[in-house]
Amino acid sequence: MKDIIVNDLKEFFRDKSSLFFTIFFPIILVFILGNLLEMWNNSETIVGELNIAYYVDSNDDYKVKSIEQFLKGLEKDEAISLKKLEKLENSANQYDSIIALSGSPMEVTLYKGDDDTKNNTINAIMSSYLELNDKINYVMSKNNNQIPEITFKDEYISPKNLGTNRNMIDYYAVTMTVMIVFMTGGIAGSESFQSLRKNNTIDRLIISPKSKLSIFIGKMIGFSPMIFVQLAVVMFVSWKFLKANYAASFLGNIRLIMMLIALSYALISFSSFLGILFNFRTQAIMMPLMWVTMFFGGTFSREVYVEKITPLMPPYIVQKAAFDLINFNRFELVNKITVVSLILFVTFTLTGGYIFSKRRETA
Amino acid sequence: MNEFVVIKNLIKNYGDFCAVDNLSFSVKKGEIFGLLGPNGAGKSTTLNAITMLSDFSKGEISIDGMNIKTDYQRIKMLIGIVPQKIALYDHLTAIENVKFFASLYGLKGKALLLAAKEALGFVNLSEKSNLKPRQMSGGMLRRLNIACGIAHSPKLIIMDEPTVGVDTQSREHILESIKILRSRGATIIYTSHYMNEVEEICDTIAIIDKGRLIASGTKEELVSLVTNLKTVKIQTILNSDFNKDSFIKQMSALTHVKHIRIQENDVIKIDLSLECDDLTFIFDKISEFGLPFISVNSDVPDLDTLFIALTGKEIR
Ligand SMILES: Nc1ncnc2c1ncn2[C@@H]1O[C@H](COP(=O)(O)OP(=O)(O)OP(=O)(O)O)[C@@H](O)[C@H]1O
Ligand SMILES: [Mg+2]
Repeated sequence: MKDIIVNDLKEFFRDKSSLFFTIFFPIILVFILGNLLEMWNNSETIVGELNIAYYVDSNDDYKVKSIEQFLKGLEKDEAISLKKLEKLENSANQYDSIIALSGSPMEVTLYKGDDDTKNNTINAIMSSYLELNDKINYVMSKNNNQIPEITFKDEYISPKNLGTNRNMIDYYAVTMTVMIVFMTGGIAGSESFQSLRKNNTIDRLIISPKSKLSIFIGKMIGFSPMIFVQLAVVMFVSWKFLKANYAASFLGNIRLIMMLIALSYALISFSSFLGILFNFRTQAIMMPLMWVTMFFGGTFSREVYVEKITPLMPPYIVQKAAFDLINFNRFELVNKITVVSLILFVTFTLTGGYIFSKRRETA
Repeated sequence: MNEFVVIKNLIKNYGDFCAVDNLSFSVKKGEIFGLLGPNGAGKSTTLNAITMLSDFSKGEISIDGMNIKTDYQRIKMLIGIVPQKIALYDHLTAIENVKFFASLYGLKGKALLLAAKEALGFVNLSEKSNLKPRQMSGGMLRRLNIACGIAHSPKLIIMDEPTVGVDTQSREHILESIKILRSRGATIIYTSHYMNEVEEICDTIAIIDKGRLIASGTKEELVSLVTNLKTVKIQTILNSDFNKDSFIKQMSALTHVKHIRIQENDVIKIDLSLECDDLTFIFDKISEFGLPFISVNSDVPDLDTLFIALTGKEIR
């Protein structure tokens, strides 16, 4: 078995192109995607200044007062400017929105501008007011004398970080890592057995008295540097150069890496299993399979989510596990995937070795 | 001498196609056994059955008294194969390739290194031991392919056309080495489509065609089967503008000429029917092509002649 492992290690380290791919493919991927993402990241929705006007044409003094108070309160925020109009003019260009208070009982009409983001923001502000108003009315109707005095003190609202600031880069750092694992793991095994066929050496292995199971296991171990180098490169590069965040704690990162390593072995043993089971280029199955599952798994874009399909995609589940761990420090899914991967690895390695030992001609 | 390999009624079908059809022969211990046949005769298929690379449909094969279906683990240790298709790792140097394949047979450490060095020396590649396959010529690759099959000193060496694409000098060297392997006690099964190789080194020869055995025996026994022909051997000098195809076509058209072939060393061999006793018309034709006569001998028919007589076609 030692000879098989050494042979595969030599193959990995001497084959310049495979070494190049193992190291530079992740780097290139991270940089290209990373830079694209940086651009998107900067265009994150910004509401900007809100220019609100209001107009009163109502005798329902109590309600008007109340809403005026509320609106004036908004002015504390530097980004919001408020103006009271004398008449409802057609001034859509001057204001982002005009709030008209009219009739008796008072009705609120919201004139919207053409910036959706601003419209939504004002909408949200107004609904929250109306909601609050309803509650107060309810309390008043039940208990006339006890109008609750609701005051907000500024110091109640103190900005506090939700922890590590998550952004697009973090999302893609995880999905790129998952992608590397799936792409190379899903293909490396079949590729390896294909190359044995191509140089005819598989026949020499088959007719040798060496146990085929030990040859198969030796090959699995021989894949280790590829797995470790690739994971290390993609994680290091996206952490170091793109400032991507993985898990917050050291333990979390170790668990994350362990899951990815176990997953890599599972995938490699699966693709090797296919590679020994069939005589044709099983990459032809694995490649599209990997791309499709990654596509529907949201690896390429978080916009992709197809109900009943996406949640079943292995890359999605793995990504979800990673996010669970990274964002919420939840380990359950990561643990599950690690264990399942190891079970799959052992199963495919043993059956692959068994099939190899039964394998005869390859022509 | 006892029989080392015995093949009885071997049948191998690929779907409806019968590649080996009820083939039986046996190989004596310590001999070089030649398996001759045209393309697609079933030579490689037979060898694959012996090495257990492929299963066979019917029949029995035993090696050193053991049945290959039941004692395959022990038998595998005895066999070394030199496959028709070169089987080497591109990322390993010559010596690493030899060492790797020998290690599959349990050789280790110093013994492994010695065996690998010796095998490389055997095929005259000692100086190239640190080259990788892509740095080697076609002939060197063939020789390395042989070294990988023999380094573990197998008792039975199976060589499937080991000299294809090797120059004359290297081929002579390889043939000499094979004789040395025999003298050390190995039994060798050898296939080739070079008739003269088989004639030169094989103790016993089996001729197969379409999966069937058509003749077997020593070279002398086989040639004595051809009694209705005689052969003329003409040594000449061929120059570069000699039109071989046209020459063969015109010569073959002559009466009494059964077959004509031109060998590597500018020897023209012509098989004639027995009743032909005047050769002047042949000499005239050869002169027309401007070829000099260095020597003219009458010869006994050779394996080529037998082969054509038996199968109706040239070996390749
Ligand atoms: N895997 C296969 N499936 C179907 N037919 C096959 C297979 N392998 C070999 N054959 C057929 O079996 C016949 C014998 O092939 P084989 O390779 O044994 O010939 P051979 O005598 O070694 O020829 P050559 O001198 O060209 O090497 C051929 O007709 C070939 O097409
Ligand atoms: Mg063949």
